[in-house]
Amino acid sequence: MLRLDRVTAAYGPIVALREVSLEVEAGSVVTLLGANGAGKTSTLRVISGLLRPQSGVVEYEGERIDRLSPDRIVRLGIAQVPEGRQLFSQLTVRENLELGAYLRRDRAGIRQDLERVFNYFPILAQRQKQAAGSLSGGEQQMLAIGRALMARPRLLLLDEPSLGLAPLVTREIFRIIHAINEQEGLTVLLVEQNARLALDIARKGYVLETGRVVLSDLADNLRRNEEVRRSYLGY
Amino acid sequence: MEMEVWPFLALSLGVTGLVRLLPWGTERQRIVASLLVLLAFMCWAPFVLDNFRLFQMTRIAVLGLALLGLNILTGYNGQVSLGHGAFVLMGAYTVAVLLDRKEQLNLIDASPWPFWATIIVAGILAAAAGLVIGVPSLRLSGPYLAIATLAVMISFPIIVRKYGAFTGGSQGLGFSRPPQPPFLEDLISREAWMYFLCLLVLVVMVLLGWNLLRGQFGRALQAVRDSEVAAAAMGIDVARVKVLAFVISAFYGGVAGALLGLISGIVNPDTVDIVQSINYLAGIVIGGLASIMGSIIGAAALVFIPSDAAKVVAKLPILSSDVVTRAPGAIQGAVVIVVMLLMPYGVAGVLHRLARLRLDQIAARWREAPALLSRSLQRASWTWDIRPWARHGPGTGHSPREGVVGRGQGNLPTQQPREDPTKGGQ
Amino acid sequence: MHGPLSALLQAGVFLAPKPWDDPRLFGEQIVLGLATGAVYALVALAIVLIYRSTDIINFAQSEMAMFGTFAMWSIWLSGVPFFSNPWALLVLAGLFGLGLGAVVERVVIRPVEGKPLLTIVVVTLGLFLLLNSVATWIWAQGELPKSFPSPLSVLKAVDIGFANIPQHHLLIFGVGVATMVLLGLLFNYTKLGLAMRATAQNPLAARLMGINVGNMLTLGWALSGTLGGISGALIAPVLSLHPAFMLSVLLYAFAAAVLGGLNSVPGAVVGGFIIGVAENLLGTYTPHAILGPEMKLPLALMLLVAILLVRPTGLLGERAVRRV
Ligand SMILES: Nc1ncnc2c1ncn2[C@@H]1O[C@H](COP(=O)(O)OP(=O)(O)O)[C@@H](O)[C@H]1O
Ligand SMILES: [Mg+2]
Repeated sequence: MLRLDRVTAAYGPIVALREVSLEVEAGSVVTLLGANGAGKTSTLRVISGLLRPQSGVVEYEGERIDRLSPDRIVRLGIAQVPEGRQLFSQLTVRENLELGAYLRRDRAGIRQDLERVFNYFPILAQRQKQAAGSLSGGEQQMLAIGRALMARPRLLLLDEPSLGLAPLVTREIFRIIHAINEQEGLTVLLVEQNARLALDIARKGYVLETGRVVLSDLADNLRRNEEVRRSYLGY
Repeated sequence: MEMEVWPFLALSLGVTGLVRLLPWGTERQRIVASLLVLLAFMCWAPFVLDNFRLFQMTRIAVLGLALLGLNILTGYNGQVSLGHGAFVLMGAYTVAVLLDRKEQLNLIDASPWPFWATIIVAGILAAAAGLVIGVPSLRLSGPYLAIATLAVMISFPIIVRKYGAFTGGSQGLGFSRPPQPPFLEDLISREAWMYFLCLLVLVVMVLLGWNLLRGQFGRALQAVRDSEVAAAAMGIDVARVKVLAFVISAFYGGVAGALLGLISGIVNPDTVDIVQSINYLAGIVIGGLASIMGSIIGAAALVFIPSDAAKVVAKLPILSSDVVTRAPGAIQGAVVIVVMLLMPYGVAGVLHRLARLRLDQIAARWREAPALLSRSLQRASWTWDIRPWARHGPGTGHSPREGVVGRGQGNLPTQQPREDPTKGGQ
Repeated sequence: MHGPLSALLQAGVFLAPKPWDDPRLFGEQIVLGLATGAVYALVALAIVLIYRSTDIINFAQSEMAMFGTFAMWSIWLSGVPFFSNPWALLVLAGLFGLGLGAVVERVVIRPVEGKPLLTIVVVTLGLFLLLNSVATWIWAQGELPKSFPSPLSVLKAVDIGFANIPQHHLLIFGVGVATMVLLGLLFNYTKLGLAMRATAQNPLAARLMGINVGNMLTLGWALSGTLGGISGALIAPVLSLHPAFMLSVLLYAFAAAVLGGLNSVPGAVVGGFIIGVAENLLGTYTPHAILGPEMKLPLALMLLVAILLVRPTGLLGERAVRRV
């Protein structure tokens, strides 16, 4: 479904990605692991069209998308839940969700998806009129995911959904991500520092180090891998 | 020997640049030598330039002083002020009140003061005003401070007009400009004397400022600008530093105003108007923020752009001379915009980058020269991106439109490279 | 008591008219203040719209409005049948501002985007100079100031019960308020308005939603140009036309915007009305010998600074976020 082929990207003189290649199959959950500054966020930015790669190819369903603008990419069905949630904090929960469906014109479908999001995250239904900034951290993350779902994506990019959340809340969110993937067959590319949880729901994973893919394997194998255990699983 | 101002400047700056770039001695020796060469040329100026150009050079010295003051506050300390003109105007009025005895006959003692003493008094009074404004300004930040200071600047001339008994109202105060000291009478004209006086004060104040800014206080100023929280964590008394920045900045403004009064011989509410005061800010941004050299370059821009930009443009074949003669301000505005497009970090930023090259390197790499130049134009090397109130823009991770990265020449780095702040002054 | 103070007291230097001496005059001052306040509010809104989304303070706002108003004046004189109607002129002024704002954003502001903020602010100063000078060149040849038509009369007054108000001032108030209401509807009840608010708050997230942030910024400048254009055409019959005629309006509008809070849209409206009324009251009811009409601008500004010291981000502005 999504393929990156030797993608190199930089912020001015700072090279963030060096020849990164990876592949996400339709219907699967793929995780991207790595320490701080490894280039995980940059990878997602390249896919979403926020960061233009210097070389390499990004292909989505057989089409090159590395020269497209972010709105074209959203239209093609790729939605991102960015690092740090990036909500519109002074707008209401409802308005945030509506903005997720900004490019869509099908009113009925939007209403349906709103119901769907409230189904996954009932708390958001209660907080509809509240400013997004007034939600708790977990609720904000749910809103960020809900907002991305409102675009009715076929590929969901998640950037560190566990960041700054209590373990219990994190587990709940991962449960829902897993459920969405199972029930709807939504493809997920999940960026995480919390490797344990990520590998639990992912089919396969890539490990980034200073902008390079240093490991890629099925999740089960990665979990057993000495290197990964020491660096990312902490035992 | 008579010379036009442009050949004169080209010659003096060219020789200065040569001394700076030649591959000899240490960096420090090159800097000192080039500045001495520049000073020598500036001392030669009165003997080759005509009176109009000499007066312009005098004004550059005065304005340079005023801009240096503003740069200490805005460039080094990050407090944006649109009201610096108020301190300058205050300095000018101090001199006028102390030298003109007609209006104030019954109010203060009757004999005029010696002119040099009025300069000092002007500086001190302005510094006191800086204290009075600086303390409440602690509560304001960013654009709120900018507009509050603009309010002070707008109000000052109106108040001066209204209470005319002391200030001469709209007509202002006139006095005779101080004559040359006797031993110089046969050597130089009154105009040259005024020029040397301003140049002397400028050199003294620049040395003072340089000494101040390269040391611990200079670092404290910039630390507070970059992050008040981090500065406080380093043990810097943020409030004290910010107020001091206001006081010192006002002192420079007051002295500049005193000189402005002295060289004009008349001071009225229009001596410094709102537009001038706003232009000061433009001047330091064009010249280069957080840079002594940038302040003086900015002053030169403020003096020469109105007088010469139109004439230069008139020589270009593309424009009809009609625009040039009838709408000189349009050319000025366009020049300001173009300079900012080409050198977003000011002229001093570019010069400083170029100054790192040695002539032999340039000779060896001349093929790359265009690329090098264009990179120099776009990069800040030591003048920082000062974001007094930005939520968006580089450093916060994204510019408003482009999201994470800039447009144009590839992806701009979000952090401007920083160099040792002690290199700021020269 | 002797000395200068008592002499001043006896000379009546501190005497000022009292509001209760003449209730009609008081009523008039209030209503006139609300009318000019509506214009300040429009220009303050124009400033706030741009500031909110880009952090830029547009100094050229006044000159863009001035330029547009002069252009309308030319059209009015040209005798094109439809546009000799002052009502049509008012609408056209808004449209002209719309176009001018969009062009300025695309041509002048976009190239410096992402550059240091002060650099962009200085670019707007350059634009100020440029527009002012071009307007002087084109229009300031003959006599100045030039008179600008009003759809109603500037001189004829209407008795509104407690005061006599010139027809034109009622028009200013009405059109001003209507414009603000329309703007409010646009922002709060349309998808486009929602997208603009989102862009102003978090451009990065807006891009991820598929919003074309560039177009939103252009639209912001265009709307702000529209507000400027309308306010220019509204106030021109009162102030009459001159290349500097919008400058004092801009200063009052800055005061209004800052008073309300630079990132608050309702704040700009409230600030505009407060400044408009305060300006009139300070001019009328302070002792003329020592304060009075000439001092109303400094007084209003001093009041502004005093309020800022108590509320450093204006009456309705959000607290500044400390950068760490
Ligand atoms: N906006 C930016 N400007 C400059 N450098 C950046 C920017 N964002 C990230 N980087 C750099 O790119 C590299 C990769 O960062 P990122 O993709 O955010 O890593 P991760 O998400 O894995 O923590 C880091 O070295 C980081 O410093
Ligand atoms: Mg990251």
